[in-house]
Amino acid sequence: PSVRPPPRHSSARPGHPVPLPGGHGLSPCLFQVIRDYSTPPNEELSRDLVARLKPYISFLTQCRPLSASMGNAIKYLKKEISALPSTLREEEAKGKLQGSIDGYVREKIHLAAEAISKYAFEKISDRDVILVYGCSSLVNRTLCEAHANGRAFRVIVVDSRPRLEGRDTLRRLVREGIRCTYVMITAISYVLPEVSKVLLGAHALLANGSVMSQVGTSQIALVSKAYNVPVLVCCETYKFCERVQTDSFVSNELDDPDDLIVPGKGGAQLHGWKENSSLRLLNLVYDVTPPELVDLVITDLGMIPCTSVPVVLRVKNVEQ
Amino acid sequence: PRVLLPLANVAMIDYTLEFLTATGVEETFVFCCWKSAEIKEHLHKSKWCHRTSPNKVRIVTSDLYRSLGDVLRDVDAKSLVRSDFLLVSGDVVSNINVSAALEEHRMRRKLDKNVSVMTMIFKESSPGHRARCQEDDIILAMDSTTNRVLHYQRTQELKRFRFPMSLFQSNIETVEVRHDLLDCHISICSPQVAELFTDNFDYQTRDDFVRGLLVNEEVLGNQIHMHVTAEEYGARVSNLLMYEAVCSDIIRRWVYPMTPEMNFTDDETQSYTHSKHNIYRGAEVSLGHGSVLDENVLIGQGTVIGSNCSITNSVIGQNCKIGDEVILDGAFLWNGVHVADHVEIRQSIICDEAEVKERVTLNPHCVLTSQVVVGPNITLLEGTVISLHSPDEEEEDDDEFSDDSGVNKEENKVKLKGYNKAEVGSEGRGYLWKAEDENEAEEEEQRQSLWGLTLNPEEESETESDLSLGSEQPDSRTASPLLDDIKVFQNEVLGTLQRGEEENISCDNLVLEINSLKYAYNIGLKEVMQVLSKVVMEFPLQQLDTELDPQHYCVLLIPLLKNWSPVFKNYIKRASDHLDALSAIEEFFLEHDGLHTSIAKVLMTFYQLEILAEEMILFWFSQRDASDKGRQLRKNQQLQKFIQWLKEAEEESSEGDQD
Repeated sequence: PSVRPPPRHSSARPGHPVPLPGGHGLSPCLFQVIRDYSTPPNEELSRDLVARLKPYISFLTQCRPLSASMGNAIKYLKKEISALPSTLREEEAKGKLQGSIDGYVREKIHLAAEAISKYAFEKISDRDVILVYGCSSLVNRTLCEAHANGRAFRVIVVDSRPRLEGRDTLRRLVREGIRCTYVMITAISYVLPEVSKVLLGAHALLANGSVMSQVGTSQIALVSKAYNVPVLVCCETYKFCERVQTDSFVSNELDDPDDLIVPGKGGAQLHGWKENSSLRLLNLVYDVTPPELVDLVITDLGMIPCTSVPVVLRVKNVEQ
Repeated sequence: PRVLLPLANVAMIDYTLEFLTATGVEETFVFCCWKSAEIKEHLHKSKWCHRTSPNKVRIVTSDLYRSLGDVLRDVDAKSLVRSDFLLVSGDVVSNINVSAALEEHRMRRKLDKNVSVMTMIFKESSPGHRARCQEDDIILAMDSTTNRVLHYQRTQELKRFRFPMSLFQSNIETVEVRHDLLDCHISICSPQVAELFTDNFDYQTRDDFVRGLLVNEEVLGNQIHMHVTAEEYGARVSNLLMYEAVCSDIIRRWVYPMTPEMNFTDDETQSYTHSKHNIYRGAEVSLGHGSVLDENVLIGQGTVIGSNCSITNSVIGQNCKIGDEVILDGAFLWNGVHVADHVEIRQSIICDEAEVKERVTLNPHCVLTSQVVVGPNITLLEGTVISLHSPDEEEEDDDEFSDDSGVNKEENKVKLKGYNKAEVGSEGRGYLWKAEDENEAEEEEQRQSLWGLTLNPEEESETESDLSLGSEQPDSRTASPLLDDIKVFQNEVLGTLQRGEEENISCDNLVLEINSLKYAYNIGLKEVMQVLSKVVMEFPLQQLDTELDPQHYCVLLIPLLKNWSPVFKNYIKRASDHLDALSAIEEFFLEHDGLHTSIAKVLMTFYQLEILAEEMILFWFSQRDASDKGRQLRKNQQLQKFIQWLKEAEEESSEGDQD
């Protein structure tokens, strides 16, 4: 009996690494995999299952390069599988694994979001003007809860092409009744003088303290620094990554270059770019913000400066 | 006059003329009917009548214009336009570039040999949007490949609509039913439009024209097309709610490039500086300590604002004086307004030189007209209108609608009457304005009909509520001399119907004859309705002098009704018409007691011929203010059975619709 490959899940869809973080989409699939798994005779569960997972992971990687959070989740699962005592029967083993996946999701994702929201709430005061960029589920949740708890603040939503994710954020915030302004990233120097703090989401935090996030984030951090506006990054610990990157190009993801073409009136300028041999369009998904531009990282472990990321990683490794 | 009312401190007609000039119009005719001297003066002083203006403005005045139809008939009579023209009402604010639509219109006419008569311009706007006028709301069916209008209907806040099946069964494959359109009241018309108005002299508004054209399409072959714009702005200020919406839109720069700081009228007193959050300040504005201009505020020149005020979403005119601790949210203050300390004004309009004393609170949708004073320590309820015209002074005709430049005349009378302190406060000056028609108007309609009552329509503007009030006013005022006319009219109608019966004249011709009689004797639509019903009901009695029994009567009457049902349907369109017809029928039966028993059959026939609608019949039946005899009539057995059947039928049909 073979396990059918897991369905292509939401985080493999190009366009939304952040609203549904890798762990979210991946865990139900892994859950399904384990449920449908049955040990072939003469094999040990722990070793065989790990081997089974390999082709699925490579399939996912083919669809879309794994994000840091997904990598962490898979590492955690593999560790759990290998740690299973061989005395357990198959059913018990499967149940234990499923329980640990559930626990992972609950702790690292949902409870972490709550904790971060609570910490961030202390940082938001009345009559604040908060700038947010793109769409981050953490930041949205923080703002909505702060508003529900009675803080009076204003939000400026910054958006950029080609994804225009800011519109999602705008929709959610306006539905809650928060006063919002919507600008494009080209207008940040116009609005920054009246901004009191900047709240950003992250895709991953690298071991040297850099923040890897949606392309455009480093711009915002840079200009905010120039205007002396504090930059706060919200990130759960499961997104902490052992990699080190000093620039945005060394490893990044490429998105569809045709998205960059503006469907303007009178025909887009770049329509025939493929025919032109010396022209290439580059649509990057992520960019890296150096740690000097970030003032504070809010995690489920508390509020830490950027440079403490390696400490957290070390502590996590020791725990595991 | 209505078109000189300020929208963000600029008269409405300036916006319209700027729109026309910007879109390339080179000659404009402005048709005025009321207060035309003021309009003329304003236009002559403005840049439009300057020698170097790219748009030549000609003003045509006449007191006889009662509707858009009259204006267009005049246009045809005087042959003022020979080519395609743009038909716009004087209160349209827009930045639409009409040349694209005009090109399409011209192409269509060239290709199809002048079949397309008019192109209407609409703006895409989701249902329920703030800038969609409730009165004007329409739903229409169009052919999306050719942009031809197939069916046009006002929604009038109904939830269900009927579309004729022929709409969907015709050869056209791409029929779209759209409810997301806002009527900009801008139309590109061909010269045939003026001719068609002359031919059909009962067309009063553009609506009549559109509906008439769509109905008579097979006969005349004329078509109406439309052009939809999604990105540009166009709206008509037809009532107070629209006034608010369009004013806010102008301040929020939706009508770019006609923004306040552009000062497109080149008026020196109107130069504003634009700052963050849409704050526009005129010259010499002084702002007190601690006052906050939150967002979307326009302040005119020379205004003085006290300390600790909070102003947002408001327009303040020139030379106003605002005291301390004032809260203005959605307030529209015109020139020279004085507001004392500790006042709260929300979503209200305060006209020229009015005064609001201390500690007054104005709830949303209040209107204070010119030179009104509202006393200290009073709270005005929502929707209050205070004006210097006492509601009892109805016997004067035109003076009633004069604006308050004629206040001196009023003062004499006023000193005799005094003001009601409870309404306007101890130092107040003004009267509470109550709308005259309390029957069908809901709150919003009342406010809208307020515009219709106080300010008569001018130029090429006309709303439906104006039409109904306008045509009723002259009748009620000059009721006595007309009674003879009505008698004569009735006889004439009778004669027409007799001839129609004998010579088998078609119903369209009958309608034409009745219309001509209506104009000849200057009868209002309501009267025509009643007389027609009465005459038809009495028709069988004329044939034989003896008293008929009900059976015989029905036998004679029903074929007549069948023959003449198109005539009825032509006149019975609105809800009030149904009720008029029903009351006329009721009167007839009250006069002829012996025929009581046939009332049910008669009503049944009316209902089956779809002349009267079931809701109207039920409504009439349930009216409580019937006289004794009326009540007795209603107790008639057969009538009650009929009503019962109607109710059940209505439920069944509504269930059927839900399937």
